[in-house]
Amino acid sequence: MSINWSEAITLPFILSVLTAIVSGVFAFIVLRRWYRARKAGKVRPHLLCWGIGLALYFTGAVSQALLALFWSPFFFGLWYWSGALAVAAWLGLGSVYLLVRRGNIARNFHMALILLSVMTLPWTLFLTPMDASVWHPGADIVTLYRDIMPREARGTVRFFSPIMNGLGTLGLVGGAIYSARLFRRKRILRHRMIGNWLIAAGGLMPALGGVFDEVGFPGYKYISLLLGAITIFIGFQIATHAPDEEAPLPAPITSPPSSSPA
Amino acid sequence: MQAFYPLMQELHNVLSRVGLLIGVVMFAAAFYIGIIRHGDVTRWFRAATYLVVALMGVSALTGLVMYASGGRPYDEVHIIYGAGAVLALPFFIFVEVTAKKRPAMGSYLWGFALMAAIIVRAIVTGGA
Repeated sequence: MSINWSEAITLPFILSVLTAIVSGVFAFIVLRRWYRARKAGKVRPHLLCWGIGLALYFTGAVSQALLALFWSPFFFGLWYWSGALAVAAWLGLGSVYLLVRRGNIARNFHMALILLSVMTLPWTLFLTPMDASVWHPGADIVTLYRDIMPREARGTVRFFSPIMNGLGTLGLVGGAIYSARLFRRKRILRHRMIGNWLIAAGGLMPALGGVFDEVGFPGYKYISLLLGAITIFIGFQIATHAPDEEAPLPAPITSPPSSSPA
Repeated sequence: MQAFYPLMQELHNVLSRVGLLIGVVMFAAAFYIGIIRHGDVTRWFRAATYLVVALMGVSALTGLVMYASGGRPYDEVHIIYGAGAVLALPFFIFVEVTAKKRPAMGSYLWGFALMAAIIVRAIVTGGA
């Protein structure tokens, strides 16, 4: 494999490397915090989900940087699976775990997401036809992917993108709105509200980059990926601020013992 | 092995359709017990769920035997859906049996709904 460095080192490549470094460090910090809490006997599934979300962010950014250097169907599949399917869903699940304490709803969402992730990963990597002829060194993969993958969503793995992103966005934005509403009513958990808003904004920034690309501002999308990772981490730090983290959630959002089967 | 292929194919087809039917019936039962009566999972319900998992396991096994003897589904994605159909229930059984908050029938609502949807896709992508 020979790499044409002069063509491959472009602004998208540099920003992808920066995003990978930033999200990798953040994923490590969040997952380490989850691990330490677990060792101390505390249950913090939202930290695990946010950590997985950031680790997937890192995976997507690394794959994106590598795809600027050389063509690899494996890394393309990994880039699409992590970025287009899994990141928003796992981040959204973290918010659901943090805010929805009713019944086993969050745990059921968790299992559904694991099932979808387990099914879509081999599908993307091994069963998705890819047209490598459109790729070139320094390729802007965020734009080119439409020509590399089949355009038809029906019957392909692209079918799952709106489902998983939709659920993820619902978790992220719904969580942010819910915590804001809770704060307005009860004047509590201010940190959690701000943190959730930032995580929602960070989780949606890559998608916003795609929108900017569509309307003619392609340069924004790589910066949005980097800003997204930074915003998620700041949101995580604020949402898990010590006083809020230890504080139990108020009674109205906890279900009575036998009101729900979920 | 080739002599048994038509039998395996027939068994695979029948098991998938029976699995779908039982999945829908179990979903309806879970809805009635969990949503209408606000009841919890009974011993019999859990045993029936394990039976469905076993049924899906046998169906997957016949599929694997057919694949090993050279048979191929109409669409390769059938293998992904097949694995999904086998895995769907165990994930939610795990949630239910380890749930601290009761009742936990909601897990089976999720499990059977997802399993039925996956089986439908598996049937569509499997038959050549």
